[in-house]
Amino acid sequence: MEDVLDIRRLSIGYSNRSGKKVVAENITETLKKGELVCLLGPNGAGKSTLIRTISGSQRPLEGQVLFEGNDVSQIASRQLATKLSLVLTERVHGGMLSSYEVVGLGRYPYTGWSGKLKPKDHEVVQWAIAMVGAQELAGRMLSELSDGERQKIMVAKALAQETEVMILDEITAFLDLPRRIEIMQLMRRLAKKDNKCILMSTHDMELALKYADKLWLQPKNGKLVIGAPEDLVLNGSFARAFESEGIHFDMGKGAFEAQEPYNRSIQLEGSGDGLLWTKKAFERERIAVVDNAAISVKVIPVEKGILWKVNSKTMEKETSSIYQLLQTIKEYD
Amino acid sequence: MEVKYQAQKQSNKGIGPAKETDAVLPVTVRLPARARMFLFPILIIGILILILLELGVGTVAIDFKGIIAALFGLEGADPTHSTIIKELRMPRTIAAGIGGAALGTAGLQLQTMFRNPLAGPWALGLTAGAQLGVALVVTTAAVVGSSFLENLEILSNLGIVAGAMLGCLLVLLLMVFVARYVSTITLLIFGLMLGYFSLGLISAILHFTNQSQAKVFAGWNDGSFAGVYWEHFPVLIPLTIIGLISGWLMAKPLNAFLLGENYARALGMSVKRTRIVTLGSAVLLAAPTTAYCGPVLFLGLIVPHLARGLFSTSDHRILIPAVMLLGCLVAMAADLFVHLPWERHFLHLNAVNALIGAPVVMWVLLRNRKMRTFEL
Repeated sequence: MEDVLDIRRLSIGYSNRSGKKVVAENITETLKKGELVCLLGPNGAGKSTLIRTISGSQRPLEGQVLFEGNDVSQIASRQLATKLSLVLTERVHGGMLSSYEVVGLGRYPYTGWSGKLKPKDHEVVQWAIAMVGAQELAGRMLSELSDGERQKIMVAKALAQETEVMILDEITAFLDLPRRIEIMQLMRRLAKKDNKCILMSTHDMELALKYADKLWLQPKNGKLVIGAPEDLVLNGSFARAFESEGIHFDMGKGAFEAQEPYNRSIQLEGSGDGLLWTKKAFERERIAVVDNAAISVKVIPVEKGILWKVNSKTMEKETSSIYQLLQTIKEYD
Repeated sequence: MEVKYQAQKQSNKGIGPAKETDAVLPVTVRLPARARMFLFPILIIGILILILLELGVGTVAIDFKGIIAALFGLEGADPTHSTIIKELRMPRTIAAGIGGAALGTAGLQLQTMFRNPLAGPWALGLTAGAQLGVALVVTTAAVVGSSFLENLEILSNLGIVAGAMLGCLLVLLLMVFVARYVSTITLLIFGLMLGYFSLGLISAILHFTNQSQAKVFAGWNDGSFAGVYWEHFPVLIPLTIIGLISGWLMAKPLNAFLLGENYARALGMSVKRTRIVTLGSAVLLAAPTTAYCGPVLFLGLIVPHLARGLFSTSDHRILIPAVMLLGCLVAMAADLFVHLPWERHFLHLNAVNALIGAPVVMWVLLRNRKMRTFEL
């Protein structure tokens, strides 16, 4: 696959008269077309600084970011806008502009002084709107849209810039889970079908693990670790990057778990989804599932749903919901 | 009346790869602003009608024939009428038109730049800054000896404008500096405070001037287009036209600004240049008008909202010509109202602006569903 962005011995951070603060240093990596790269890291690790430096809006302390051999901080901003597009976390109001007009602004670097869209520009705008599946939104005002719809339009705006590289800074931060999944799927589709080079920073570890071709892990005060998501999980980098007290990475589940001690143990029998979700509820309530305990719970599928049978020496009860089941167990004390 | 952009599958060939695998649904967009272009000729007709009314209506009523005769020096023109039209009503009408267009445009620019729907030359303290500048020039003239400035008519003319522009610019620079650190509402409070502070300074300064000049200043301070005469136009018109043109040239960057500074920069816009040109243009628009017409309140605030409401868009390519025409229209209408043949001259321009302007803005805000929720 074709390399687009070449990052060479990059040090990022801030410098002022009193000295400089290095956030991360000696980053060397290439970004390729057709790849979706997710940048993950705890808050304050410098994800945004890295994104800003790579997109040319902040100067690196040392090293270079090269776009096809040219330093991005040297490329004229208007030209850079045809090579690299940005989508940001910030909520855009857009006054009384329609979504169509906002996507049209993506043609900014291509249009003349008045910003008038030519037929070719209209085609690109429509293609971009169709790519993100926002045909229904095109005629509505940006300020009337929900956060998720708005981010879709901003992605379409970035697409209308027709750049090889798309950089997205925590664009799913304000979205609910279905919207976040939708955006991740869209990013994957753009990388694969449209051969874009996409770098997105996100807090969604589980979605990043699932959808990214490559992960960049930026631990706090540490070196950027790069690799396929699965490799980083297996070699423990993933767990290390987010290490903190009381939280640990469950390799089997591919998710972070709270590490609180169990406060009771119960014997659990059953099968299927009923068993699976009962276990999840027990996990949350910090109830350990063991082979032999004072209380036993049986998950029994019945005609209309599921029954839970709770048995102990002093009690025998049936419940019709997990909520009731948990109440019953609590009352046992 | 709506424009539809219909994307056809075959017309999409050649834009980006992988097109053929995606079913491109047609995108049908109704852009209300495009459908409202017919408003432009209506505005122009309205302005023409108002010009005739401005020239004809007053304590001395002059009919259409009389106006034409006086304007073109036709035979049989009443010499008194000619004098009234040429020396009084004509300059006043031109001043109202220019002032309205200038203040409306400056208001729009400031609202977009500060991303604040309540911004305007007055709310941000620019008007007060200009007033202060003028007060300083007038006082200096009084103290130094007015004969010096009066002898050089054009110089005193320029001196007042320069004072206004300097005061305006200083306030604007201060506001730009403060805007980095405070929220939109705080900025407005800051602007108002700065305005009151300037007014306080003005009243202190005026103690150093003589009574007749203080009276002149007080008259000017009420705001009126009637104090502008032909000799002022060589300064007022070129400056305003430069301001209007440079403002219009910034329509595209101002549109990008609606997405916020970061997005605008990522689209290749030079934030610094846009800011300098737009704010410079706002000073060129607000200061000369304030220098000659006094502090004209309200117009800069209401005209952009009226334009947005009428054209239902924030697109500056439409809004800038719209605020120019609408500003012209509203200022002339207000001026006409002031100069209707009342028994007593009981309304000042600013009172009319507030009495008509405020309810109109409220009506526009409530009527247009889209404007109820809009944010800059």
